[in-house]
Amino acid sequence: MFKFIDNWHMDFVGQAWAEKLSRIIITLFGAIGLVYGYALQQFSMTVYILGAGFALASLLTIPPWPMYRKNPLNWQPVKNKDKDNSSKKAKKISDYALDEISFNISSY
Amino acid sequence: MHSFLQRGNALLAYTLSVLACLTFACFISTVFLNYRTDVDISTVRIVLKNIPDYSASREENDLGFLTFDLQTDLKHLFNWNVKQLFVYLTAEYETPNNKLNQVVLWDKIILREENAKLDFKNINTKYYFWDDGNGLKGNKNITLTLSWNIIPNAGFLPNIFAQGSHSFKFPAEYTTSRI
Repeated sequence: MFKFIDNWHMDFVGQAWAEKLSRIIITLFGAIGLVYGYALQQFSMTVYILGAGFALASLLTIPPWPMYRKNPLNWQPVKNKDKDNSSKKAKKISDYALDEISFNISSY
Repeated sequence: MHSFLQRGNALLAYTLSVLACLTFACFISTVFLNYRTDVDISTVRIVLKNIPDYSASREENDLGFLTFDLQTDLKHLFNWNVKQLFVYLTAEYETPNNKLNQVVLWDKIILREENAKLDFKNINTKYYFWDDGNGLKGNKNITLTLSWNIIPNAGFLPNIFAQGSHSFKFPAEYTTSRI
């Protein structure tokens, strides 16, 4: 049911969206709270409305909903570099490290 | 916005920043308001005694008793940046020893939801009107003034003096009977 929670990460596009959306929601609720609290002359209303904005933004942008996972990175497949068996262990590790960072970033 | 906790942290930090801005807006919207207003004070009964002040030096000092009337309307002083008023009545007078003496005789806390239209008749002072000597006997100019502290949600804690005061004089003789 909550299969998308097996990994709590968003992709990069999703992260940007989540941050932008949370900023918009909280700023909007803050502005509404300011106007409403001033109209009622009750500052606690302002704080409560901002709190509601915080709750809504938390619900919408903290869990990695599927909409934030639509642009996964296209990783290159792991290459098998076992041809040179005589090479030292340190060399091998550095080769793997190079492979790891050479993902195709232009794909998103 | 990398992990679950980092997103939550960023959200909370931004919310608190917005809250600080809103609080500042609340402060700015009320900082230039005029909180002064008119007050009517008058004294009803004035009695002067000369008795030992056992809380201090056991010397015989002047102790004034008075009852007073107080009328003022403080309702309009409340707004979204005023939680409560601390209203206090001060007696100011001059003696040969001291150029300025100030004694707080009475005070009252008025919360925002409480009735701020004050109309007191013939009420006693809350605190003793002690002089540190014999400065009250025959003193011709004791001035009662009302002041209030505004306790805000955010901002300054101003000390406002009401417009209007009342001056009276103490009798030249001590009262010897019980009061």
